[in-house]
Amino acid sequence: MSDFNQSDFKRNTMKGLKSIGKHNTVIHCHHYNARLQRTLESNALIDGKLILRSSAAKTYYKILTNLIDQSNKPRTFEMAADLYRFLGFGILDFSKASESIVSASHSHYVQGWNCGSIKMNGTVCRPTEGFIEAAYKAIKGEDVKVQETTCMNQNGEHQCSFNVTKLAEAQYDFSKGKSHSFDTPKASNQAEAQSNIKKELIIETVMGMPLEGNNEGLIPAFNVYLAHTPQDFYNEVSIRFIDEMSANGLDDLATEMLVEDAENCALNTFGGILGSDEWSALIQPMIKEERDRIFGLIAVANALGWGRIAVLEHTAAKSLLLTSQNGYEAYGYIEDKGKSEVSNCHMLRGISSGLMGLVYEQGEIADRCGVYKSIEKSCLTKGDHCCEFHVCSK
Amino acid sequence: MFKVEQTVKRIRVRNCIRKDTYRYYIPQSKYKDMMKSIEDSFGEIKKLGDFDLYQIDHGQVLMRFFPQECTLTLIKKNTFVVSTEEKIHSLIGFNNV
Repeated sequence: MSDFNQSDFKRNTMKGLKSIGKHNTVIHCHHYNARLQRTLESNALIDGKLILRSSAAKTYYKILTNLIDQSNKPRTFEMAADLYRFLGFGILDFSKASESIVSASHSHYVQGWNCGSIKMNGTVCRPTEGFIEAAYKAIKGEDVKVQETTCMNQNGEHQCSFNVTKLAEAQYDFSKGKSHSFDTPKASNQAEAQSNIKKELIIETVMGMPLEGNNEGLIPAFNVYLAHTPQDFYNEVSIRFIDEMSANGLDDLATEMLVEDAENCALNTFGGILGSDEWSALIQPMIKEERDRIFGLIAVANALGWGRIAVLEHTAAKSLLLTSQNGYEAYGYIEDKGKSEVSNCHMLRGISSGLMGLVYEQGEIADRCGVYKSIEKSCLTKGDHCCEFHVCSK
Repeated sequence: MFKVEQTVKRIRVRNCIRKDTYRYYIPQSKYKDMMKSIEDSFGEIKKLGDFDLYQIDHGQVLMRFFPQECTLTLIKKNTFVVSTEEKIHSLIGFNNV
């Protein structure tokens, strides 16, 4: 056993970043991960399943090899399974790996597809397929293709089963991309809008929470299931999705779909956070007026590995101006493609408008979506000094 | 004169882990004893990070204690069985009728 624990994370509170295996990780919930997957897989013009599987395989291969080569983690399937549990994705059983069978008794992804309005009856553990491919390559040096044959998302199934097929050669370029952590610039000292929220206390407390998979390999916190996912995974998924949609003339649609996924994430995840015991214990006592909730939620967001986000201006129920100095989307884009003529932080765009809908609108979550619009006027990918999000009602 | 609530109440809370998640409000005079009896039956109560929040991560349920408001939030896991909820109700003195 390798028994990952909190000391395996390297933290940089000032930049709001947490890394493992020399890769920065971000925290997202089961809602967001399922929605993002649906966006990719429900589009017949592209092979979304392949994007998800291959992005996971390449990213986790680098993390596993870094953990083995540089952190002295054992080169075993047990170590890979423990990493998977630790990050909050569930429980993997590699005991029949030599027979080319892997199974899972719990799954973050199944929870995501079961929790809300999105349903389908197929297999859903696509990133897990990629993770298992990465494990075979990192541990056995074998190139394999993994396909989930049965899934707990399907009626009557009590475990997920994965079939492993050996390949004569690698199906992806595993060398592409570079490992990185904490190589983003310092957070700036821009003048932030005033509130009653003690932002740094919240960031430090939330970043210090021992968030790791429990006996089910899941992280139930803030009323949602959280998971630590490498930034590189999300970046590769988003960039390849937009690239492939662009090839079909649908780049604008692709970006708006990613924005909408994030807006739903804000409404669901942060809606859960507002009603959670963690919020009651830490943040609620600081709330003196309604607008403080925006500042409290942004403080929590700063502890999720998304980079440092600052509120520069905020008028309750009317407008919000946010900046981000080191958002993972911007840095991932620059690393992969260099400079851009357009803004590229779609997740933060959706989050910023969703937060306004969450705090100031009433009624069902679905009715609050699309009430506010966020425009990223400046973006690091365009050469600007920071990413800037202007949110107002439509 | 202000009447002190002596019965255990519960409300359903918005929770995306399990929709049937409830927060129980325990009379202040009984809160410490309740925590002790739950701990005796379900295992050690641990502090959650730097929060004034405590929890038991049991095989079937997650129980969160927030002493400032005398609450217990019961989050069921996938392996949860009804008899466990009944046992907790009995320990905290909640009558589900």
